[in-house]
Amino acid sequence: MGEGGLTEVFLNECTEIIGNLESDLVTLEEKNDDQDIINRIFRYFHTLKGSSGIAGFTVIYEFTHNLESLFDKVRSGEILVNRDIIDILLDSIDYIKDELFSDSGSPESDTIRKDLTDRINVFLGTTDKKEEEPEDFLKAVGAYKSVGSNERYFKIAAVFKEDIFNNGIDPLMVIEDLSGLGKIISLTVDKKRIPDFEKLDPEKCYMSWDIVMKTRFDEMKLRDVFLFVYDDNEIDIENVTEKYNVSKETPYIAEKKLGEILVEKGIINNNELEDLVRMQNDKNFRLGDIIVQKGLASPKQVDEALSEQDKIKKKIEISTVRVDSTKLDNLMNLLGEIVIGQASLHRVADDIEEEKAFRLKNSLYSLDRVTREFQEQIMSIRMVPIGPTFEQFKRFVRDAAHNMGKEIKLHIEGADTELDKTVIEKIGDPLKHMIRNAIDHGIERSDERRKSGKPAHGTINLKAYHQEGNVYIDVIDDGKGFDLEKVKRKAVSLGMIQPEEEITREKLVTIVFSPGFSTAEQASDLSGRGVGMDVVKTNIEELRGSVEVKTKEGEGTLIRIKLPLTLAIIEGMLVRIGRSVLIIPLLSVIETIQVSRENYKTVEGKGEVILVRGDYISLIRLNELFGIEANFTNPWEALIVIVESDGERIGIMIDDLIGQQQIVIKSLDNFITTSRSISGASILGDGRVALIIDIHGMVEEIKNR
Amino acid sequence: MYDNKRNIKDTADDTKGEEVNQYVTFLVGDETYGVSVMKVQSLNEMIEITHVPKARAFIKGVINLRGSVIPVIDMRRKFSLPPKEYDSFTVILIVEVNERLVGMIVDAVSDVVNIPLSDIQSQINYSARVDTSSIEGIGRIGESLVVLLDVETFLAGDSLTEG
Amino acid sequence: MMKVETEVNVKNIRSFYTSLKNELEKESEVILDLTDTVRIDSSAAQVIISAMSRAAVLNKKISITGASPEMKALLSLAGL
Repeated sequence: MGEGGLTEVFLNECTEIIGNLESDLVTLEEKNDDQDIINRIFRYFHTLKGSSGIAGFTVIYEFTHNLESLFDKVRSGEILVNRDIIDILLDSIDYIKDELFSDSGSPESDTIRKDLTDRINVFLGTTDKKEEEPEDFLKAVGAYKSVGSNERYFKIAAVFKEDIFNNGIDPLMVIEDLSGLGKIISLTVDKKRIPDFEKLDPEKCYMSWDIVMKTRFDEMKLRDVFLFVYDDNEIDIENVTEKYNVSKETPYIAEKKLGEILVEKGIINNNELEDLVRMQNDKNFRLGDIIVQKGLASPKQVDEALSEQDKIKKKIEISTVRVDSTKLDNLMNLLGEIVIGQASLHRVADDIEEEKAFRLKNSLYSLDRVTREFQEQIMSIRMVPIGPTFEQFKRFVRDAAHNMGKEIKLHIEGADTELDKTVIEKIGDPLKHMIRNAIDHGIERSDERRKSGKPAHGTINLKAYHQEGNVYIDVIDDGKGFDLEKVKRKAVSLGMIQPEEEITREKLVTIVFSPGFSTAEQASDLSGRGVGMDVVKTNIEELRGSVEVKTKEGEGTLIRIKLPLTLAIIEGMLVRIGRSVLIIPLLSVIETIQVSRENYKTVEGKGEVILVRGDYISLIRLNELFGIEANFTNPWEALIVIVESDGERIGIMIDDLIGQQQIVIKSLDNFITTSRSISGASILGDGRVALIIDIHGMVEEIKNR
Repeated sequence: MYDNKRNIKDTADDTKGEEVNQYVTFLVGDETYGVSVMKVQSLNEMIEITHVPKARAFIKGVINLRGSVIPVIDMRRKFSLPPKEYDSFTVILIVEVNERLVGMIVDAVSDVVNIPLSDIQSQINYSARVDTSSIEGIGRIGESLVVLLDVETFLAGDSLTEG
Repeated sequence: MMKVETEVNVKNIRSFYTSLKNELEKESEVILDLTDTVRIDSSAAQVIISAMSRAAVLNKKISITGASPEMKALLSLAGL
């Protein structure tokens, strides 16, 4: 691995660690005695220290060493968690971020570091005169024990290549890091590989380890320790939990084998084994432990027997692979091509003689099924939980609230909810905007809140959930809600509405999202609310989502983002208007009908309507909207697709229905058109491009006409 | 359709001595234009263009270029020339602008030419249909003159940077 | 008695190796004094391991003293 690669891996790792640290530190401020969090934070600092050392960031290494020492005192209870400590730690993280990620490294960084070090030393000095290294690791990891069922056992074999020292990597340090993740059950260094003392080249590495350890972390985490050395060295990690931590159903079988091995080896005899197995069933102990406890065999002998057991037992591994996400994107694109190819085969089938067409179509349908499954599998790989995105706002809310002199808690729900990774990447900024607004304009100061009988601290709820093929993210605050009078005044002052204009609440709320509403506002505070809300809306619409706001004066505001589950492929209905083919997302389609002449009307103010199952619904002439020619101009001659948008039904006039198929969405560069009725395009089986109709956008566009 | 890469390679070898630039030249109306060969991705014959509602005036629509959907610009509209029926000479020139592909509908493509730097005049006092800022220079090939377009500014100037 | 430096790693391993080699040649028992040592790396560990095997062959002895708890933990991870 080259220098650049190493640094890159390190920086990636840091980004992840820093994100976790920020979130955990803020949580710790609230739950200041949560040992799990404390231990986790300690590990982060430790890893940060170790990795920066390996990657050659000595300044960071030394600095994080101090942080580790400081936090060690928190862990031991010598220093209590309070806002000062959290502030120091967060400031320190900011410094590290700056040092690592800003291009030039700011000239003040030395001063900043010294200041921080002084602040840290105050804590280290006043509480304890003698400066201590963090206590030894085996003791340190003691803090991680307990938790029976989550514990896993891993067998790690690490053979390092001879020239590893040249890469600046010390395998012992890697092992040290590993040991920090749990408890070492057994550790053997293969001394046979080390040459005779006389012939030893001390600058070459001959060390190799065989380790069995107990940990709460998963295999991935363990592998991360070997991140820098994985490629060139022989690192083998095997989950051997089964052999150590036997579930209630199978204790006898698995453990007896261990016993049998020990009997075979003459370490214990059969009678002893039977007693032991009985004892084990009674007390649910692990056989290995009992044997050692009773002094029947040394831990080493048991371990040896266990490793022999390995060979008998089938390997059960939870294997994971890290994949560059662009590879996934490529895979998705290729699948897109396959879907297009299949569509064109369907067309071929339409043109050939019936019997062959029938056979071809049958094969194609089964192929379609496979493709669909294939797509679901790829989609599932692309899905990532929203948790980390939410977590990063903890720090943000804390800092922003402090700055505003407000007390605000961020509450997170549905962190496990999975979204397409592209959505996750793009949703952060809009969410931040909304949260920022809730902090700035939504939630009141404590005194104000008390007066209106609310709890002193405000709450922002971030909530993610799935519903009907969509993902919803709610940002809810219990602040004062929109001041609609203010919004109206401002809209009037901006010339967006007329002063005497009668305007509904709903309409006023949506004005906040209009372009231009927020731009004039940065300078002053008369705005009420709405920093760049139009930007928020645009961003979300780019993800084929929509935003909805509900607000109640004095009680709070709910902003609901609705997003599609997947971005790349949808089920679409192909329709024809004149010579054009258009695609309507099937999710929006309710039915396709023909309407009789009597059920068609023109209503003053509402335009054309049709009677569908007792209700009059608006009729849209797509041909007019899209500037294309249609075969039919009379609604009773044409076909009408009934779609639903935001609970409202609308009829779309088309010439003909072509069919439904999977549609691979290709985005359109947004300079091409200002139309909001189009969400993208797709390539048809014959190679032509068809536009995909954005029902929601289309309705909005028509309403605003 | 042909691949421009081979062309670059072949001609690059036999023009070692003097510094030359390579241009794809094309006709719009009665004017000859040139675009740096480095910017040209491919030449496509005219195919069906999908109309896009509310598109900018000079955007004719979108096409499928080997699986990607890209916009095509009608150069006649762009130069405010009267429309002309597309014929067998009409070509879509695919150029790369700001890492995006854009098609330009031109009346015909004439050639790939080497123009020595000495034959390129950057001082422009030439009445072209284009804003001088998007002209790289005027090249001379024998007796005729070629308006060398800087596609980046030409296309980016008024449209592609928006949104 | 052989005093070990504050830190032994690849950078100074050669001198550590040579001193230990000399020490082992002339003494029948070598005591490595780790009082001032805060960190050793794999190269140091393997020199010690190898020296210990050699000592056993020569019927000599190498032992370690003055190791801090951190050092002890580290040594045990190195199989010492």
